[in-house]
Amino acid sequence: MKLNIFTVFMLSCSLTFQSCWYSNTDDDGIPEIVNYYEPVILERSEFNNSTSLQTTPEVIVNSGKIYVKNNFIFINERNKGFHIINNTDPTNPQNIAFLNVLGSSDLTIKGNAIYVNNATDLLALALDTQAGTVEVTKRVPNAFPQITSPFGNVYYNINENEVVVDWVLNENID
Amino acid sequence: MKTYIIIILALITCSCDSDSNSGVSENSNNIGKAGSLARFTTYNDYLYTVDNATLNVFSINDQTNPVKINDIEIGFNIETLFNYKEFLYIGSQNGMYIFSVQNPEEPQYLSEVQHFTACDPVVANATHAFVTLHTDIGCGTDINVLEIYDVNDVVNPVFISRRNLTNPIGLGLYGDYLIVCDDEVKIFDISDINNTTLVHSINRNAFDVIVNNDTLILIGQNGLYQYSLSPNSIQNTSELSTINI
Repeated sequence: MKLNIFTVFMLSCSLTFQSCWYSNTDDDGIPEIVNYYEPVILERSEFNNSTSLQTTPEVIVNSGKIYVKNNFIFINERNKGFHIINNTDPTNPQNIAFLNVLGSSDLTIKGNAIYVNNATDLLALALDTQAGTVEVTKRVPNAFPQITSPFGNVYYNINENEVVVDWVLNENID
Repeated sequence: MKTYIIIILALITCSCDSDSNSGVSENSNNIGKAGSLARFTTYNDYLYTVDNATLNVFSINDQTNPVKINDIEIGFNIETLFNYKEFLYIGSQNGMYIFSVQNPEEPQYLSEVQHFTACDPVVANATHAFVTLHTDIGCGTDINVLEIYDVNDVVNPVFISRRNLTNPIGLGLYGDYLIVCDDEVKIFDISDINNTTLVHSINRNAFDVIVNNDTLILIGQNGLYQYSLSPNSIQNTSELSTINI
């Protein structure tokens, strides 16, 4: 059988990721890569009430994408929400608040509406400036696919009333 | 303190109509600006999002009430979405796609350029599209380049050039300059598109960039960095601030 370069390349690629293939057996004592991360799962009822505005800043740990609107910078905390930075004075930006949106990565603003991904859902948000809270004016459920692990894994054992909101390192693995 | 924050937050939503904006034309005061890694964008009364395989269209005619009206299967490993006028530039690991949203509810496929693997974000102006490709996982390939395409004819993008870089990711346009997050932040003069040259660099490690008027905002694993830019003196970037992460 004559192998062309492409075939050899694809074969070597597949071998590179053979440890990603799912297997329940742990015969050689080496944990499968898929098991390094496990999904964080919330019940729908809890998930649907998890978006909130916190008027105290959070420490930025795992910085994600950024968005600028007028004098404010939004920094995504991956799968957790958005740090709100008051950038009125760019020589002295202030981290002032945190918008809790589980499973989020992206944000865009039009007029008074903030659009974010909330794991599988799209949210339209309105900041209630009187109360210092945020209101979900619209939830479009299941607008997006389940968020995958850093290795691209999907969790298949999910129930209809559950949502994957993050993936965390499995600390039980040696 | 809480009152102060509430006032600040009020400003976020209420100050939209007041300040001027010397940025590109589609960036009205009503909307903000995203980095090049964004997957969400708005165009007129529509919100467009990409996920792994799909371009989604939402009507935001009533801004508080987005309604999904269409989804279009594009390909696999879609990563980024960039809007320039009535065009959507979609970056995937396999290539760059250009769609027209002239009919906003029915985005039309116009063209694509294919790579073997490892495509990343794309930004574009009226004449050219700029794409970074990088690989940071082992799969036999080692591609870390900036590619430039002529998109005067969006139905038929023409490859112009490829430049080797170290590990490029986010990028942004500033007039005649292209700013690329590489091992350092590199600024290229693109006024002569066939002969782009590195004119300045900023020794920061960042993965995405927003050019907001004359302010350069960089985000990295270790910080949010801001610099002032001057089109007449691009070498004179002065650091405004750093928030350490």
